[in-house]
Order: sequence, then structure tokens, then C-alpha cells
Amino acid sequence: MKLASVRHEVAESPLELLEYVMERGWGDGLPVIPPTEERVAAMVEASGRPPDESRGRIPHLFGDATIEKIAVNAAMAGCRPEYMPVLVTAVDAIFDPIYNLPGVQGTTNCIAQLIVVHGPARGALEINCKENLFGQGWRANATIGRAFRFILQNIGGAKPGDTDRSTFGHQGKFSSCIGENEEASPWPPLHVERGLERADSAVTVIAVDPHIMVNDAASTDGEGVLQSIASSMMQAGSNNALFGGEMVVVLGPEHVDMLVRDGWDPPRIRAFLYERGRVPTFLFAPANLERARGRRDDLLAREDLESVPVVDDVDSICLFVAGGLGKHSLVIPTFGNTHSVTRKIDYSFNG
Amino acid sequence: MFEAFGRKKARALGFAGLPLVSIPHPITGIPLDTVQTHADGIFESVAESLTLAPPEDEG
Repeated sequence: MKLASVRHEVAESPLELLEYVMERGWGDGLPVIPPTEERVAAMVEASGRPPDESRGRIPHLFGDATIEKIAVNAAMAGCRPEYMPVLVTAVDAIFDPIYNLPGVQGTTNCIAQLIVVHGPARGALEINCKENLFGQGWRANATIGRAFRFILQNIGGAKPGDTDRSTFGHQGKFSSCIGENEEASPWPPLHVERGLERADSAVTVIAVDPHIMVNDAASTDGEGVLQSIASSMMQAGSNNALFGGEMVVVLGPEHVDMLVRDGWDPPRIRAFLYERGRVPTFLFAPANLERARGRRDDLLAREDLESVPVVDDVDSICLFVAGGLGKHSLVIPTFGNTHSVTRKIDYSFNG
Repeated sequence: MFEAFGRKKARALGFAGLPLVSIPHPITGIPLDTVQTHADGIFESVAESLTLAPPEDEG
């Protein structure tokens, strides 16, 4: 296999490699795996595509996301070769204009790019969908998300403190990859809601703000749980309140059990959250409310407006099930000027 | 604050010589008369940048 990347001679010491990588702005501060020719070739081969195939040019600096460059970053992050189709699909997804990649890459906001994996790929790749799925301990979750950040940083040119101007950053910028816990819910998983087959494997990418955990271990019915979630969506200073866009709600399995028992389903849940999650106008700083009106004028034009919906319509609540035991769910606001994108993982090269 | 960033982006798009005019950061959350002062301060530079012959770029 002919690879085009520049070769670097680096001492075998892990610490020297780390210094070398950090001096060039390619790392995230943690040790990396040397992306040797052999490792990169294995990644490329597992993608089922030629190394020079371009998937697009990533802003800011419009580096060419070839399969080889994706593979180099995947190898450096510690991915197994079989993770490559997930990464290539995630890269494809962020080029959808509704994702607003130039805005997401350039913002001062605290944005991480969350990858959610759906379908059989979760089991095949051992992607954690249950306890501690956003945390440490699973190689696929840790390294797929890390590789994706390397791709945005090293190919796209979003270098922290330089061309990545985020005021605070985001813990999820080290890595942010999870699986949907499809087995914990009787409802169609997100990729099926979005038109794919249950047997398909798919990736959803979402430009997320920091997460808000919802702790409701007291409610004994589904409506109580939903009220706790709705009240956690109500933030007058959030990007969603200002710009609309999409908001993510991750339902924990124990909350799902209560909702199912009480006859709730995703359309009713979304409708409830849309109405109960509205932010009363008195919670806004006056100038910030005017800013929201300026950006969402069709929705907020009424003089007697009493509350502001955090998304423009019920379908902009991105709802799925994940996590393990415990009476918890998550609200994840987003960049606001963005919508998530779901793409099928193409395994056709496997025959 | 964002000038170097803008310069890198212009270079990446093949316009390394793109004229850039800067104003002090921040540009949001400031009173209207400060915005006006910034605008007045760069008016000549913007006019000059728009009327000068375009730089010969490296494509």
C-alpha cells in the first residue's frame, strides 16, 4: 500500500514521542501510539477504501480528510483498525450543512463533538452503552472520540489556544463517543426514527455543550420524571434558549421503565418537554431576551411573550436511551446553531 | 485577538495577502457608542482595503 504522509524519525521512548507530538501541536496532552506505516496501513485497509480518497476538507484550515490522514489520527489515538468505518462515517456526517461545522470549529463556546453509535456495530466494536458510558474504561469509546478530536484538530486545523478559541473548552474534547442503549427500551432507536433499519449500524454526530444530569429518584410516575427533565432544560443563558437548534435528552433505563409503564412514548415525551421546558421570559436578562428575539423572530415576536421554547419545534428534541442503573437522565444542550446528523455506516466493502 | 486566526484562515483559502482590518476585542456586549467609535476608527482602512488593487495571491 502506498502511503503519502511525511515520515518522522522519533526515538522509541514514549516520553520522547509525546514531546515530539506536543511540540508540533498534534496531541491532546496524553501519550499517543506511534502511527507507524504498518499501523496506518492496517487502518486504511479496515476502512475498505483507498488511502488517497478524500472525504472532504475540514474547516478552519481546510485540510484534506483523506482516508490515510484519518487513519494516521486513528492510529495515534489508539484505535483498533475495525473502528475506521465509524470514524469515516462520522467525518462524512459533519459535512452536512445543518451541522454548521465552520461555526462549531470556530466558536468561543464550550463545544464537544459527540459521536453516538447505533445498531450492531456497538456490540461488534464493544462500544459501551451502559454504566459510565461517557467515562473511562472502554477502549472503543475512548479512542474513537479521541481520534475524532485529533481529526478536527490536525486535519481541520482547530488548534487549542490558536485557531480553536473556545473560552473554556469541554471535557468531551478529549473524547466523546457512546453507544445508544437500544436494548433498554421498547422504542425504535434514534437511527430507526431517522429512517434507517434496525439492522443497520449508524453514527450520529452532535455538537454538544456541557451535560446536565437530572437526578429524580423520588418521583413515582413518568410525568414526575419528565417534569424534572423539563426543568433542567430551562436555562435562559443557554445557546438553545438564544438560538433554538436542537437539544439532546438522554433517558436513563430506570426512567425509561417508569415512562413505558405509564404509557409514554417518544412523540408524547417530546411534546411534554417542549411545553414544560419553556423558559419564562422573566428569567432572561433583558438584553439577552432581545438577542434571542433577534435570532428567533418568527417564534418570539409576540409582545406579550411569556416564555421561550428551548428549541423551535418538538422534533428538535433529540431523544434516545443510554446509560445504566440509577434514577438519572441527562439533558445536553447544544451549540444552538446546529442540528445533529445521522449516517449509516457503510460496510458494503465487506461483501 | 483573532487577527492571527483570520490570517491563517485566509492563507488556507489561498488569499494570504487578503487585507484585514482589526478592531479591539470584544465586539459583543459593548455600548452602542463604543461600536460607533470602533466603526469610525476603521472607516478609512476599510475604504482603502476595498479600493486598493487586489494582492497577487499564491492560489
